[in-house]
Amino acid sequence: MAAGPPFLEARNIGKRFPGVVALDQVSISVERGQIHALIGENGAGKSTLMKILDGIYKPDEGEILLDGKAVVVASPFIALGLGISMVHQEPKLCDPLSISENVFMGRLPRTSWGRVDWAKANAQCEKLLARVGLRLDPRMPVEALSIAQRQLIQLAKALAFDARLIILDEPTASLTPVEVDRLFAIVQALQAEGVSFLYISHHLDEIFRIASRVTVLKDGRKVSTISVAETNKDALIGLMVGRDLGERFPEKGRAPGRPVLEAQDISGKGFRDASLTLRAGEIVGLSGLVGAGRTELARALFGADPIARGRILIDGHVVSLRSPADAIRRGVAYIAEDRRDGLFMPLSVRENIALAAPEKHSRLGVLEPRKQAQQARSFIGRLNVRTPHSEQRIALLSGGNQQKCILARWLLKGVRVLILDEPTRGIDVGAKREIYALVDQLAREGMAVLLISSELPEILGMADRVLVMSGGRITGEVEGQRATEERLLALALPTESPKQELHA
Amino acid sequence: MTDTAITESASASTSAKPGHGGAMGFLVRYSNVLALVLLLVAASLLSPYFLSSRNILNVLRGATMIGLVSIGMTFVILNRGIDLSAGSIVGLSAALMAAFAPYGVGVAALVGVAAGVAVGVANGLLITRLRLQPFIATLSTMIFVRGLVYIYTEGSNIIVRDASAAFSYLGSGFLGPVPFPVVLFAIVWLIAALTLRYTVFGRTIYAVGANEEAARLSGIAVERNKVQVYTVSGLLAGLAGVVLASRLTVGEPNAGTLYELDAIAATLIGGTTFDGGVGGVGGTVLGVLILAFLSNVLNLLNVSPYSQMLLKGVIIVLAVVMSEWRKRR
Repeated sequence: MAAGPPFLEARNIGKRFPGVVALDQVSISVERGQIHALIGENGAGKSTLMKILDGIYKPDEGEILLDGKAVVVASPFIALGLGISMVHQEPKLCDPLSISENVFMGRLPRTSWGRVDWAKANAQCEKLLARVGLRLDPRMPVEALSIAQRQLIQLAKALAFDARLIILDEPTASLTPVEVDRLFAIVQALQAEGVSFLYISHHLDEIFRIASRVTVLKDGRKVSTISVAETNKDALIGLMVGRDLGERFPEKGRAPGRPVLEAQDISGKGFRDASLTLRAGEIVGLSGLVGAGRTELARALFGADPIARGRILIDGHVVSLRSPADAIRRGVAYIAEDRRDGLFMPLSVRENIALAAPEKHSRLGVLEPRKQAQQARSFIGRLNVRTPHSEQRIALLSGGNQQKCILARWLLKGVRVLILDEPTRGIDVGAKREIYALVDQLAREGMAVLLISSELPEILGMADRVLVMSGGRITGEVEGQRATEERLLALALPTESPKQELHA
Repeated sequence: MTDTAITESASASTSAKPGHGGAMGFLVRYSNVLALVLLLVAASLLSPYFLSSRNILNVLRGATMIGLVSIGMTFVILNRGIDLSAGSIVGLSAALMAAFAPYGVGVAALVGVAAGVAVGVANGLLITRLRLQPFIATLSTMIFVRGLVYIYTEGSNIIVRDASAAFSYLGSGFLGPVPFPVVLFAIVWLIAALTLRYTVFGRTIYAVGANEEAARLSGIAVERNKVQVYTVSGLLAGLAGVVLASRLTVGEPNAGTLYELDAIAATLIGGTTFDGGVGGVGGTVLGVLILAFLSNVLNLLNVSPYSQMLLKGVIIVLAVVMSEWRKRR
């Protein structure tokens, strides 16, 4: 693009952690106004590289050059001063503080008296918000915003610091397709102004939409940097995993059995008049935009939140679910949207798997440690959890392996209904495929599955039947065979008259 | 997805048992054991009197009360709570033990311990039913119960006249060469350690402390567990009060004041962290012993109690820094 040295150049970066080489001789360069994608499976070293560029980690080897001059990025604050800004996957903002305070954190404009100049701060903030396509009152507390909005606030914050390179870490992981489109438009507008982007994503489609170059990492080494125009999705997957993944989703052709869990016109916080039936051996997809009420509905089916009206039936009997324990006792499990809501970080893999099912390995409240360890190990083997031993702290496992442990917990418990809320978010391609295969196998063995996902290909690839929610209501039901992305999206978008198409 | 880069490869390549990392790793991991050993060696060099069995047993007996409270405190802190009322409970049960002495030691001890259990249950209910934060709930009961003690004792000592041998045995008796309170403390420690490690109740304490929401979503009865944990703390504080009254044959209205802070200190020195889910009673016992022997040797060396407090403060900071290091390894 431009002549002269690239805006950012990282040369031969190396980083070791106790017992691991996280990055080995990795080089990457980003031109001015370029969107450079960084891909690789979890554990490939993407996060480590980003954190080095953002000053969170110190590299053991190598150098970083900005405009051809060597710099030391000693902290994220110094990175900001150098024009490098990172937008985290889970926005790191101070929730109770206003948008203005978050955007100008550390350098709020002041009057000559040293008092914060709120009028100026809010006016400037409003302009920045407009640049990222938000029309919000800068005095609003951040806690009132959605995840998508918070991500844009982070972007506004980067702009407030005149960022010239913005690192986007999985920015679309919690966004709906519409929000993704809006984000991309903003990113491209900033690119036209000369801002460079380093774009980390598991979504290869997005890379083809937005990036011009892509660097592939694998096991801490750089595999290749290529022009996006000269490659395709299969080739990239091949580079990432070193093998051809082929078909990502398992074959369909499952045979639904009798109804296990039914909801009849239930209403609660965030959803209204929802009815659905989950049958043994069937995977039902639940699609919709973020904020459509999917998680709220799922939590109500699990007894985690109360229902105001309607009935829930399990095996044809009306039940009252006052707590998750009630639902679990009747064979219903829920795997939360945020994986951290399911993990006991300081505890071992064994305990994380075993904790929900003490009845399987205890007598009169006393544990039988051998039996417990044996059960945990059998699921570690069956689900192919990659861990050196069952006593490893679960915090040290990758996201995909942690998710497998949570699945193992419910399989050990022996549930019959599995509600999965975004089960593959932030998980690498290989682990995703394993989870798909496992869920498919469980369904074939008679499990009733409700799969909530914002990824339409995942819904289309997995579900026998798809329910779509919008604005707290179930706006449609589509046979898996006949579902297309366009059709699901049409049902998911808010309609002018919300009552139409109920149970279409 | 924060540390996936390090973590996945770490889990794949480290086949060593956890807690590796050479000499430095060993030092950090066993810092509190080493601290106690160093302390004992230094003390025996500095004071010829220190190593006598009489001195050692005296220190151990003196540490029993704080020790019992600390074990209860460890349960609570593992559960990601705090029990500020423990010291007041000691005062209440000591007063009741002294007052009920005429009805026989069995009745008196039972009343004292039951009072502790009752306050513990109240703490648990304030936290689970009224949704008070543990700090606020137990601060309130700490003040309330101390008030009760003053009202009940009318602000003066309840003296046990002609205390029976049985009454004094709990606090001053010997089992062979070993003071009975030390035996009692060892038994409680053993039961607590086995409970935390090998019972569903024990592991649930860790789970709730590590992640309350995950515990709830796993079907664990979180609220019941919390009530149980505060009940254990109340019970052990009550037991400490009973032993104290037996030892002194008097119920002092101020008995047990600030015990909760010493117990929290011992728990932290033992490596249990305020983040919940990490630690155990083994460490806490080390913490209790470190604090007890430290103050003993400093007394023997004629160091003023005020200077001792400075040192205690420093030790707590060091201990917590050590547990942070341990966590990062």
